[in-house]
Amino acid sequence: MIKPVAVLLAICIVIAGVLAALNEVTAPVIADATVKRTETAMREIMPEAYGFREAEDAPYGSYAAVRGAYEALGADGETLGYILNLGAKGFNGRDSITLIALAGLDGRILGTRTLVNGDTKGKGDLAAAHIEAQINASGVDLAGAEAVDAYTGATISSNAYRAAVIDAVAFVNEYWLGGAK
Amino acid sequence: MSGNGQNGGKPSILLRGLIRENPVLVLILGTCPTLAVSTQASNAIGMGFAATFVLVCSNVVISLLRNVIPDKVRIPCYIVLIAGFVTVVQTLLQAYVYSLYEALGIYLPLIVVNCIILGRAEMFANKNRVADSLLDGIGMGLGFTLALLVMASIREILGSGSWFGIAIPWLRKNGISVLTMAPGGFIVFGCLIALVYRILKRSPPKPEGCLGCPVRDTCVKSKKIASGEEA
Repeated sequence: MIKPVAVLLAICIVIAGVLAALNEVTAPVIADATVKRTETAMREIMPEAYGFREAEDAPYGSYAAVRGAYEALGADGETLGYILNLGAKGFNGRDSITLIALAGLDGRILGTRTLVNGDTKGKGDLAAAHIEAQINASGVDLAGAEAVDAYTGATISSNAYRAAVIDAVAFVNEYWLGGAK
Repeated sequence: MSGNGQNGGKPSILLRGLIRENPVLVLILGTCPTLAVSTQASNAIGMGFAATFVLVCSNVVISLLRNVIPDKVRIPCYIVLIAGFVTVVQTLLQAYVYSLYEALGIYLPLIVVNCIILGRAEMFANKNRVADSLLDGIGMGLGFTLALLVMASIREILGSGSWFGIAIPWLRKNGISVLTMAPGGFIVFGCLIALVYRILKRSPPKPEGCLGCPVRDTCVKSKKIASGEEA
C-alpha cells in the first residue's frame, strides 16, 4: 500500500515544483499585461483624461467587488471622473468577470467596460452586453444600479454585474463624495 | 507489454491518427471541445496545438513511468500529470498569447478531462515504448487538429463568411448563420463522420442472413424461417 501512495505523492511534488518554477517566470509577465490592459481600457472609457491617480488608503476591504480605484485627471490636474477596477463573482467563481466602471463627479456610474468575461460563452457575453447597454444609456445611481434588469438565462452573470456596479456606486460615494447619495 | 505499438511500424503509428483512427471523426472522442471551439479556424488551430502538446508530453511521461506507476493509482497519476501539462499550456498562453487564452476560455482547462488524452494514456502509452508513444501522441494530436481545422473552416467560411478572420465578400452578408451555432456544429460533425467513413469505405456491420435483408418484413421465406417451417 505504501508504494502507490509514495509514487502518487512523488508525482504530485514534481509537478508542483515545475508549476512553481513556471509561475516564477510568468507571473510578472501576466501582471504587466494585466496592468496594460486595464490602462488601455481606462483610456478607452475616458479618452479625455491626461492621467490617472490611484486612490490612497481606499477602503477596498469594505467593498467585495472593488479591486482598484483611480481619479481621472484633466490637463490642469482637475478631477474629471472616477474609474474603478471591479471583479465580480460570476458563474465560474471569484473574479470570473472583471470590468472597469466610469463614475461621474456626481457619483453616478456613466459606463462600464468588460475586461474579462469568464462565464459561459454566448449567454455570458449577451448578459454583459444587456447590462452595459442599460448603464451606458443614461448612467445609474445606487437605486438605478439595484434596478438593473437581469438577462434571462444568465441570472448569475447578471447578478454579478449588478453587484459589482452597486459596490462601485457605494465606493465612490463613500470615498470621494463623503457619503453623499 | 512492450512493443512497437500495433501492427505496421513507426510510420503507421504516426499516420493512423490522421484519418484511419482519427480521434474525433472515427473514434468519436473529444466531441465537447470539437463542437465548442470549431466556430473559428484560428481557435481550432490554437486548441489543436494546445491539446497536441499535452498529448505528446503526457504520452511520453506516462510511457517513461509505465513500469513505476502502480496499477491501483494509475488513473490519479495520469490525471495529475495531464493536469500539470495543461496548467503549463494555460499559463504560457495567458502570459504570451492572451487573445488565444481568452478565446479558448473554459475549454482550455477542460483539456485535463479530454478523453483523447486520457484514452491514449490508458490504451497506448502505458503499454508501449517512449518513441512509439511519442509518435502516437503526435499522430493523434495532428488528427485532432486536422479534424478541428476542417470543421472550423467549413463553419467559419459558410457560417460567418470569413476564414482565419479574413472576410470573404459575398459570404459575409449571405452566411448560413445556423452553422455558427450548436445545431450547425452537429450537422457539420455528422457530415464529416459520414465522409470519413465513405473515404475509408467502412459501413456499420450488417447482420447476416435474413436479419440483414431490407425486405425481411414482407418476405415469405423470412417468415417461414422465423416460424420454423424452413431451416
